[in-house]
Amino acid sequence: MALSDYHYEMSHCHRCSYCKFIPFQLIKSKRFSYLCPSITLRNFHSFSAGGRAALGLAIAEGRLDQYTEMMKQIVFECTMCGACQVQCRTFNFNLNPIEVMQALRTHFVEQGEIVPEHMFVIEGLKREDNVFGEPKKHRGDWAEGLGLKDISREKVDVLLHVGCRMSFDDEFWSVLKMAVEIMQCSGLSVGIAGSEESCCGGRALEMGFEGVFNTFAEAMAGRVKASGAKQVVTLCADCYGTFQEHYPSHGWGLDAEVVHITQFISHLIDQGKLKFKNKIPLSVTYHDPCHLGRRGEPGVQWKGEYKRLAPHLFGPVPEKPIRLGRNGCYDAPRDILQAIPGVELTEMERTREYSWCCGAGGGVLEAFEEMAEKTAHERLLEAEATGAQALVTACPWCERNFRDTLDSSGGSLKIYDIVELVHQAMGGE
Amino acid sequence: MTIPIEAKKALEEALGSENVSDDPGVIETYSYMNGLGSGATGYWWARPACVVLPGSTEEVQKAVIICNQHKLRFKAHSTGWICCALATSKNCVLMDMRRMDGLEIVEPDGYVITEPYATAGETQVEAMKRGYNPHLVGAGPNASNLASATSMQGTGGTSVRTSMNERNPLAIEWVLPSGEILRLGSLETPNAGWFCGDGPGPSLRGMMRGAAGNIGGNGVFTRIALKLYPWYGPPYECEGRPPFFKSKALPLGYVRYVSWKDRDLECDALYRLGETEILDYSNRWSASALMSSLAISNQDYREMKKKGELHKVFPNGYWTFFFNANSQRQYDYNVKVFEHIIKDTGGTIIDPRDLGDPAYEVAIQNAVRAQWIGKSAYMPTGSNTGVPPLTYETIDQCMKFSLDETISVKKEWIAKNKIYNDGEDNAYACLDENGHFLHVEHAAHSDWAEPEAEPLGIILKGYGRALEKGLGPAYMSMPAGWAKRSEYSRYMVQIQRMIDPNRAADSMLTNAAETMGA
Amino acid sequence: MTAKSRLAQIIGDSQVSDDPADLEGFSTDHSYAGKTTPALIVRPGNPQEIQNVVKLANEMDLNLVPVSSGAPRFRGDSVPSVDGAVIVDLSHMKKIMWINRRNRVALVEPGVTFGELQTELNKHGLRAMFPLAPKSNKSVIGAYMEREPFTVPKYAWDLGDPVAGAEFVLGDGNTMRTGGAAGPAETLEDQRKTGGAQKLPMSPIGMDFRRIAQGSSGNFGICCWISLRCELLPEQEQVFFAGADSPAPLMEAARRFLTLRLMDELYVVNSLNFACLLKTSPEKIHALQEKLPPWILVGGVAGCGDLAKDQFDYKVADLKDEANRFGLSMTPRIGGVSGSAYLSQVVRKCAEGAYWKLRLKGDCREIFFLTPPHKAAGYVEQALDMAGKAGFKEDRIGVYLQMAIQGAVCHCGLDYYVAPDETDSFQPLFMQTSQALFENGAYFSRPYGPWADMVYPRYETFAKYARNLKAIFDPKGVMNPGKLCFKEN
Repeated sequence: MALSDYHYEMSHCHRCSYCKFIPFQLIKSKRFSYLCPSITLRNFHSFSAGGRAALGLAIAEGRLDQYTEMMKQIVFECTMCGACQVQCRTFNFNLNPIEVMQALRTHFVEQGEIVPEHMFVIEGLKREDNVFGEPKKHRGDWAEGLGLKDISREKVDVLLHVGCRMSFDDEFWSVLKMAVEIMQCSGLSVGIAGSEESCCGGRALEMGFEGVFNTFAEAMAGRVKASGAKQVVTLCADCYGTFQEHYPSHGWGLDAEVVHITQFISHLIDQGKLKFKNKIPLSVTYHDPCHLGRRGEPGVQWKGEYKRLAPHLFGPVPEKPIRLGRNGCYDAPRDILQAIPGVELTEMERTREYSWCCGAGGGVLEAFEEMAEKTAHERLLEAEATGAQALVTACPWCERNFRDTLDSSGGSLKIYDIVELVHQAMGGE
Repeated sequence: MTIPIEAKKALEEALGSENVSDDPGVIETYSYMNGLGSGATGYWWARPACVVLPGSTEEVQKAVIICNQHKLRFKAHSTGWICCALATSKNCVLMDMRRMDGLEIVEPDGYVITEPYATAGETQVEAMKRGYNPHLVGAGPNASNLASATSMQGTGGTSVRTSMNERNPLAIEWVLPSGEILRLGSLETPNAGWFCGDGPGPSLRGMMRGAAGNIGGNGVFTRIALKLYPWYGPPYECEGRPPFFKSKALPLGYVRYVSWKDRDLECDALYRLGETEILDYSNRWSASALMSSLAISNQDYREMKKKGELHKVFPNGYWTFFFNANSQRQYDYNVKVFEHIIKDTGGTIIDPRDLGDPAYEVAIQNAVRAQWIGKSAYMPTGSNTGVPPLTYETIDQCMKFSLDETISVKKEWIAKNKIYNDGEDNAYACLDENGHFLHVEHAAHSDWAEPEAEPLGIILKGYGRALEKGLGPAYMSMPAGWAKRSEYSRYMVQIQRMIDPNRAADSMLTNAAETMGA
Repeated sequence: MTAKSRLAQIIGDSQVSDDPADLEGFSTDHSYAGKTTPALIVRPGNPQEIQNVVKLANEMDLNLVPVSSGAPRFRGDSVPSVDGAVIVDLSHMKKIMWINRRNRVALVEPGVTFGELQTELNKHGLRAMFPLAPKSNKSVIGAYMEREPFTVPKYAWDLGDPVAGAEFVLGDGNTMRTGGAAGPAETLEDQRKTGGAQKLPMSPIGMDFRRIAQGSSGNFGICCWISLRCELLPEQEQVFFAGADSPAPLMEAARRFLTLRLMDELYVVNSLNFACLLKTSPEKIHALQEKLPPWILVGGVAGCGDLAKDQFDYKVADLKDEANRFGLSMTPRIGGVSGSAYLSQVVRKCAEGAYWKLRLKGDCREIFFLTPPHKAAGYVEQALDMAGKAGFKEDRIGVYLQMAIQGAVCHCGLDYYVAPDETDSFQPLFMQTSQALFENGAYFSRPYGPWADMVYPRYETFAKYARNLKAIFDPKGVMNPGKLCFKEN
């Protein structure tokens, strides 16, 4: 939907500032009460969901005759983590901030107001089908020697979609290999697209390039269909969120169930197909990746408009799905951690629907280094405050940003992908 | 207007360039507010010349002095919720106080030192860990406690125990529009602290506000101490999933909905309940308001309204009462006397659980954290006008006279489609200080998208009615009263001008009062 | 015409006095304010006469000193600071204008004393908030307008309590009603027709004159009447005591009891003040003092309103449990004094005969200030230590610790009992002690007399704006000049 289609919603922000705080029912301390990394860094109301709705409204009503660098920063210096959306909707019937923010980005790109760093990503996508612009031919290098099936040649039960980050960041290759080993416990045939895999397109969409996104979504849908897979499994929360939310809300469907690796593993444990032999004496805390949690909630394509239901009473017709993040993936990773002998899970104050973002999403990692680092640092401090030895997550983007931030800020906290702990517990090396 | 380059440069030097913006996009985001009276004035307010983010009292002072030097005006606001102090002058430097968000609970004295951007909800969480409870305004936990204590109004359901927020400040640190820092009460006594706000000698708290404050027009309150009240039992916590979550049990907590068919008996009960001193929360509202809290969309709300089930349960509005006891004995007495009085006055007690889990959560979360009051006030249309007679006085005056006068005003507006038909009686009321006085105001919803919306008119109509019927002194905080009793507003304007010799404060109220003859 | 004759025109010859004996009675008091004999005493009988007097003062540059209570006086605020002052003696304005049980409110004029008010309130089942055993001629308005603490801290939301509405004649001669009395209906009767009862403490618009005027020693205007909130007269009531060797544990327990709202009257006194409250001669005071523990917590438990007996019973039971947690025993008798005797002699009672602070030595010099409750004991110790070092015996210092505003503050009252001929020699210790306490954080919220020069230099901006404020309401500076921070007005 175009920005102007959100006029009613944008004019119904109540400036309650809910979008800046976790739910007041859930606040456990003043220290960790803030929700939005963007305004927490910049402090101007403009950098909150409410501020962005007002900016969008001003643009839609023609109150602004220019686009400034500051406006661009307001629009794009946001991880699109969606926390504002779920908090706003506990209060406000008439606004969906994340949709407005998405429309703003698309609008800016359509107007040629593009963040230069994002163009590197887009050009890389166009050229090499990945966000890093790395040679496409190396996309499947991580799987060399693993004997995984190539979906271009044979049908599979499960398509493992690796995603750009894990494919080209070789620090994650070991995790991928562990995941493959774990997945083989299922007895299902697992295949990959290898060098033919392309980006899910989610990052392009969140950077405002809807057309680019559609190209990749179409390609992905085609690959899945051709593979015959009943499940698409990914270790990347960003890809998961894209498949779950963005694809359906933009009219794209995958002819397979989308499964995050944590859900896959949790299912294996439930089925008794995965047993843990080793005890791992480790106190951990778990970081909910935004795109696995609240933004992993299945999206629905809505076509309609706000209509007058009664005097002074307006509403979306047909009814619009209410996105509160409730149906994201939160339990599977926790179930896994609870199942690993010796692991002691302590929750941070901001969890699940109201988890604090890692700082890597929405094009921030690529263009707004300070925000990416400070956002991650805040999360690391929150993790440390639990007293845990390790921060466990389930997304390579989160993990990458946490590791890099920890490198620069220092600290004794260990960072794990949940797959690593599972692999250790099952006796892997 | 554009801020002069020299002024901007001075602000940047004083506050850091990252904390100063005159970018048109930033300016727009500080010009918008859909809330009070939006249907008449629109949701766009005056564009400030510049927005700044001071981080300390000293920075506030520097910014105020710069405004004085450059003939700019200034105004500060906190979280921005509801009566957000947006600019009303175009040469206004708007101060967003977000960077000043500190709060410190002082033990064992039992007060909190709070900066502008610390919210009531955050304060409560920290206070409860130590056995205290702050006052919470009805606006909700997202409201700044400093703002309502110094500059706005400050009523809430906990007022039966915690009074309204004019009554809660202890020591105060205040950057006057002149640029001087005024510290009230114990603060300037060496080694004393923040425990008292009156004196030495006369209390200059009296030039800060009355029943209502000057909405940002008296300078910037940078830190104040607010007294805390007891909280018995464990800190209140919720868990579970949005939107309603699930409250953990309060072992000696008790929440009930109560309604009466007869207004006189209702008043009798309120007096008697107040006199027992058992209540920690009291709030009257309507079936329509409860539906607004329970619904999750306009359609949902509309369906509830069509079914009309809650209107059948609460045809005459309802009260939520809550207390949290310290001992089983106290709990038993509280329940016994509560039930005795309600029975004796013909009231009906409803356990919110009988209306379903969300209804219970709405009741308990409102009672403890004022969580859903704002939703009831602003949903489903997005705008709410507090309709006068907006009264603070006795239970009898508020409940027997003001409430029905407002309904009569509303009926006229509803008939003309100027406001939403919420069932007419949507009166919000709460007891203060064990029933020594009561506050009532009336929600009137409207949506700017409705072509005939005219919420501002109902305010003027309501104030006219208040004057005509002699109801409630609080009305005089609005222009309609000033013409009649100008002796009050004349002194108010004189005080404001005395602390603001260069007219630097963007003082909407005093400017309007002066225009209207004060 | 002379001021006297002009005043006589306004209020009648008999109400204007320049009798030297009368004037002498207002020329000094039991403080270190010095001695200045006023020129005239006027006794207006109603608000209109007060207003006329103030207008005349503006016209003729007269200096007015409003006084409501009778002697003995202790604060120096009613002793003129300038020559030629006119005492506005309001003690004859004794109307109890209205009492309303349903709204728990009474309206009184300045001359109404606590005893007179309570006698009437008893008929309505109500009670006033008493300071600790006020003198029999203590004006209700005089106490409240000077923010005198009262003995039931759970009803003290604010230092300005229990004043609700009020009417003032401002220093410029205009009148102003505040709080629930402010309107919009013009007359009190019209306000009542729509259920109003002058109950609201806050004033209508962006300022509150009543709050400004309180604690100002009459510097902004003259209070003609107030409405004050009352509470229900208990149906069940009992006084309990706890003793200790030092005030700290008692204050800690008292703070907890206040938190739990278990007690109405609630304060800590030392044995000397306890004895002074009950006994009338030095011998009897000392005899009782010997039977008492050094420090006493006084707590009144009350049951009011519906199911009063049930309320009383649960509070008594809870009080015992809570006291046990502090290792205290709350007993209905101490040093041979029963709770019921204390109830009948002290609670809601005025001091009979000689004021209790004058019984021991004939004079008393007060040091009082505010502090957080948990620091009160420390300040007491500091003061006693200084007295001891100066050779002033501890057994001549009475102490009264009274929490207010829901326990956020504690009024700390030190009563130095001196013989009339000792007052001059005591003055250096008085000032040294005051100064030392002030430097240590004691907040002299009512800096009378010589304390003004101690306190206000630290409150430069405050004093400047207080003076500016006075210039608005009293532009000619006719009201009680020379007091507090208003020496320049």
